[in-house]
Amino acid sequence: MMTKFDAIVVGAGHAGVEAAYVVAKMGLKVALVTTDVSKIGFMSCNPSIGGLAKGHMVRELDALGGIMGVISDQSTIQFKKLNAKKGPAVRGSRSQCDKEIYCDNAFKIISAHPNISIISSEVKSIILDGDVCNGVVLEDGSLIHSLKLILTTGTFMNGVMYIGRQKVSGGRVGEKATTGLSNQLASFGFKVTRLKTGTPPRLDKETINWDILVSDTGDKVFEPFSIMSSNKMPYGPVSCGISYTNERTHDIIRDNLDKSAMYSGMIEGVGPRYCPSVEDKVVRFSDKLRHQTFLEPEGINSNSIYLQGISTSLPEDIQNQFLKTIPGLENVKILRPGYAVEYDFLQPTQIKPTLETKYINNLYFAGQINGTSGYEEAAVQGFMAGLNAALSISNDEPFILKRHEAYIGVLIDDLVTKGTKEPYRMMTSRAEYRLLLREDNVYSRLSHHANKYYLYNELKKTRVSELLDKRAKYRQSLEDFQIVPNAFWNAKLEEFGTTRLLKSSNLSELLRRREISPLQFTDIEKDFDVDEEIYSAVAIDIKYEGYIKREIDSIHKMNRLESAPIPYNFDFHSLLSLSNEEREKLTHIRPTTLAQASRISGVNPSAIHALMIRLGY
Amino acid sequence: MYYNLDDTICAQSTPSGRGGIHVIRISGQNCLSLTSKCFKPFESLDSIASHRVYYGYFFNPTSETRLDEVLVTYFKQGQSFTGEMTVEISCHGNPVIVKNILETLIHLGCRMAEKGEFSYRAYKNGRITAPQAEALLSLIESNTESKISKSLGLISGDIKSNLKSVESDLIWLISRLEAKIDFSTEDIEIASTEVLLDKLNPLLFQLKQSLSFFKTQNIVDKGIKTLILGSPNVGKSSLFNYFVGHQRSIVSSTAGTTRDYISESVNFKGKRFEIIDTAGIRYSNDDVEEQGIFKIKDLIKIADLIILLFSSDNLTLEFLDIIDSTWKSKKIIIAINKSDLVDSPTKIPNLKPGLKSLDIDFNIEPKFISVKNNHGLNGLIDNMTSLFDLEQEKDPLGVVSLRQFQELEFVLKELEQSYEILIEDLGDELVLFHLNLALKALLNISYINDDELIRDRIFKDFCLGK
Repeated sequence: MMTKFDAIVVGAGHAGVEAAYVVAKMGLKVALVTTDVSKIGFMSCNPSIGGLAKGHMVRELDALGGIMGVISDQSTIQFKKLNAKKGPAVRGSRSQCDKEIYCDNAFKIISAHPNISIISSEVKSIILDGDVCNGVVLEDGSLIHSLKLILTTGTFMNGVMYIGRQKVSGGRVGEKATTGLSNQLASFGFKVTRLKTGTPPRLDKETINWDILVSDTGDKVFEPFSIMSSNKMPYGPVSCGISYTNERTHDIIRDNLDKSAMYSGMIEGVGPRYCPSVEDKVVRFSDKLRHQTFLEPEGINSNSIYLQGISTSLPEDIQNQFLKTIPGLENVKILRPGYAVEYDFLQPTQIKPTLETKYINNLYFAGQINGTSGYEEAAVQGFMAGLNAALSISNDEPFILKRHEAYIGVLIDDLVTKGTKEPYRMMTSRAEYRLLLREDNVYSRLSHHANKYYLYNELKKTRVSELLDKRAKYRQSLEDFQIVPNAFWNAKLEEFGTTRLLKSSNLSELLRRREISPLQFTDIEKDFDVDEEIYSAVAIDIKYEGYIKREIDSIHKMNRLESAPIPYNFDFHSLLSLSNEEREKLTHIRPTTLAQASRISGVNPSAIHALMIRLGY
Repeated sequence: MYYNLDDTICAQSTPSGRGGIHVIRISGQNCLSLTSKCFKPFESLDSIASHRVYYGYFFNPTSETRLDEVLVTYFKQGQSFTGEMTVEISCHGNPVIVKNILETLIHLGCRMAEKGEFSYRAYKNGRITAPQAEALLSLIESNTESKISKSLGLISGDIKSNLKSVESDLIWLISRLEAKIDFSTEDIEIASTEVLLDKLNPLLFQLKQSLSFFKTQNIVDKGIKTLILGSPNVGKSSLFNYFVGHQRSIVSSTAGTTRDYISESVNFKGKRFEIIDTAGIRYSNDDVEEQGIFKIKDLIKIADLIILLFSSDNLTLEFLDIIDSTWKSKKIIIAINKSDLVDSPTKIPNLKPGLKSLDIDFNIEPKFISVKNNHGLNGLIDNMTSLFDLEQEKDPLGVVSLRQFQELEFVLKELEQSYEILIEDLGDELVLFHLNLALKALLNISYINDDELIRDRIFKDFCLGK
């Protein structure tokens, strides 16, 4: 076995896979260490990739050269565009995937890359030389060395699973936890805290009475995440069932609260508010008479049904009892009970925007170790950590996405500037430039970055540039198409349900009207008859134009502060004009730019002025 | 707070409160051209010398009213505190005067300086060293801020707590709409458009009330510009002479030189009215007289109160075309003179339907007066003063400073737009665009910078979860 690599990635979940792959793509040798080679890219909780704001991130990742989009597209068994009836900026794609096929596809891609070595082992400790890390010690005592180390440990660091009063060490059912690593990190000065998450029971498909359930097979049209994928969904579509809890269910849960791991005080970690257990729902929203649940197949041929919405840490026999009160589940058999997992994470204010830690050089964190939740959040961090590790090896400038460029930029800036109290999940409301950060324009937002680092293959490069060219030409043709206020056009406009023209205009200006769509003009000018992927992005840009202009104005105003760096070792305590609170907050977060400093709550404008003066801006 | 060095900024640079004099500093490339628009001797810019004190009047360029007798010093670029071209205005030590001057400057395109911005520019231009600048900043932080907030005491406490309720309503609204977007797949009931509007409407109302109170206060502070308008021979000059004669102390008398009108300042019940007589202007369609109409329109623009005068033997309005949408922001009194000529006022036809057709709802009963017989005139004066009675107006938010007023005007504008979009159902993401900007401006008043407020509220109110 090779014992010297450019980078080591610990953990092969969604963060680890992206990290290893991008390091390899950058031409560097990488070791991917995982305790279970059969679980590379495993979807340990819900069977879907994407969703609101998450679908945005998967597309952004594809535009940057990541692999989650392609793996998901090749494993999709049902597709849905969420918020399809709402504004284009807040529509999000969600693909339900076959978990087994997803894992297989992830393994194929990873194992096929010559620069990636998969090592099946557990990492016991980090090798340190002063405040620089240069490798890891495996469970058999062997050492592997590297220039960079990326930790993507998920829920495995000191992971403990709870089912009722039963407490088992482990990161996932049947898989042991990683111990020792977080104690070592704590000894380096990192603050280690606990978070909690939960997963619902998995049910035997054959024991569910599907006939009485409302079913849903998703959208007819499949819109793959990647420009490289076919528009034909590879499998399915499978159908999901919908059912509801009732007061009988709630009574059983209420009567047994003392047996719930979370309610008996066994768990200290904080759980996500957007993903409460069914116990939480029943207690906190006692006036709600029913709670919805989706019955989602975990695969095309799988017998396992994921019961979305009913995560629980009650004992298995109680789960069995209350599940049987839910319509359709009268005779249900549990394949695996729901459980809660508690795990160690490191407050992300301890890492830099490159995802390298502040205390140990060459050490990067990505995924749940940074307090996030979700496959997509993990994947994008893995990618950014991997790319920054690679850039650092070649002494190149770090790659930091700004908040107006991508949800990925919002995610990382939020983490390193504010930290998190609960597992962090992306939502569209976190993006202040929401109308700019859309699914339809990821390639125009981000492909120049991918091209800079040569992260596309030739085919992808051609496809992306063709798409952007076609859109630009289409936009130009709309602008060139003059419409004069004559009888012909005014009659047409009235036919389209809009008002007459008073002076000459072009089609691009006309499209700002709500009633007008480019499709209405295809029989007049056949050049306008183009694919949806061409016209819709252009039409959306035009419709949002006034708003986007305001967003861009505020980006320009902010840019002066964004491009004003604060040196890493700057002593905020030397600024006597700042309040104690300001000095402490700044010292803890260590903002890297003035813009980041101005986003810290409690830091006043005069403090920013003082900083500008001291730093000579 | 964007620290844009291209902006021309202004602020009071003496401690707030009453004192002998106050100094207002204007710094930036436009300071001289700006000042020339509102300071009399500065009409020709070429002749102004640096480091010389000029004496004159600071006036409001729209209304041409004098705000104060001031001393102005000009410092050329490179030779001022900030190193930029700077103008310093020394005015009388009255907070109201300072407010009026700053307001005029902002209206002309100045931006209020952020805390520490003058010192920052001074440092930036090499006028002071970094340690000196920092020392100044620490002074700003420890002295001004705490002293100002202490001296304002209860007042500043009030605005914060009142704003809190606006803030929490706004957060309520935003959290509903954000939940609708981010948690659309969940089985939750989110407020209907009607319910959202029910929440938004009182917010708009409160903001409008407070902003209007602040404006009324300004009008009263500056003197209420009162225009007497009417057809020829209805008695405009008699009414003007009555007002002026009624007053023992005439504050000032200006014979219009460039404009054909006369104005007099008078005091009624402690309020200063600047009465403008348009008697010299006829309202005919002759070419020669056209100019007169334009002057009337200019006067209407600056008027705070319009007394629309008729006489009982002439109830027609010869100058209908001067009534336009600008009238909506004015206070209006309809008076019918020569009431002695008719037996009983009840026989006088109601004027309102005619005016209503112009879509201006005056909502005022006509006052019947007779200047000749001194009838109904006290009632008219009561009416005039009560229209500007601050005790009658509500200020639910307690706006105290120009900065708050500026931010709240922005808040109102954004809320009005979100209201339109909500009603027309153009998209929740666009409603939120405006609501979020409004919330940000509102939080900026108290320098709060916390974007978890919305999500805290969503998770508190809705049962969400997969």
